[in-house]
Amino acid sequence: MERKIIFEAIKENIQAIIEKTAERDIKESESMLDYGADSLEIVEVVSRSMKQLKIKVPRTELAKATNIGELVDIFEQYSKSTETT
Amino acid sequence: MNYELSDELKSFFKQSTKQLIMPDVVTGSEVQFNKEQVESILPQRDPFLLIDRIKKINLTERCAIAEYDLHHANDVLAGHFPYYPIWPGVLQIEAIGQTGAFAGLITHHQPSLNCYITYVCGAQFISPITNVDGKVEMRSCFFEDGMFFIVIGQCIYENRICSVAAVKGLLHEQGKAL
Repeated sequence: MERKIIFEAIKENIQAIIEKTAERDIKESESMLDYGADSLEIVEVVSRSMKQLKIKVPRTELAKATNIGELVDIFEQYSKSTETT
Repeated sequence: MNYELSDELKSFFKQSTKQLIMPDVVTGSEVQFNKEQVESILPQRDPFLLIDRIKKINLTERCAIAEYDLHHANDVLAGHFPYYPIWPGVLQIEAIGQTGAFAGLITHHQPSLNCYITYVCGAQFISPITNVDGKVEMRSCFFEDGMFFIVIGQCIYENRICSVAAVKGLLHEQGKAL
């Protein structure tokens, strides 16, 4: 799956779930906490994005992401392993 | 925040206000899991374990029927309310949640997991539960929703559906920070 598609899905869910982000520029270098998300909102964004992209990533892997870009990397990696299986 | 149910679950919730969950199951005195067995799945303990026995479980549908003896709630009922005891709605939601959690956790072969409620998506209190010596039956189903789970269930008392509730939460290792 293309990295751009993954980023767009995550961005769309950030803007839908985290308040006051609809007009904001979402950057890969930032963490969702930088946009004011609480821990539940982060889980919501990740959960909805995985559902939308049909990817399943173990929670232990997700916990390694420190910003949005790293989350995209993990999704990309898992989407490749899904495609090859 | 996303505490809204999908259309399918909204319809299940609405239907549960009128019709029994697991409608084909008529319960009697049977016990499929006793309290000790319930405690091997759920971490709650008295006075906050609101299940005394599981009467029936459907592992495929992940639905369960549980029962609670109201005399365990005497202290609560003494204050809610004096001279007119009503089993509180918040405890009905908890009991529905525990019953659904049992149905969900028993199918996950990981004993360290627990269900943590993050949202109460909806609750409807249709009829009060008033008799201090009676038994309440809970019928709940567990649904996976991405990283979350949703439990929809009902409290039944004297053959009446008294409440319906839907809660959403996360499965997580017991004792670890979410």
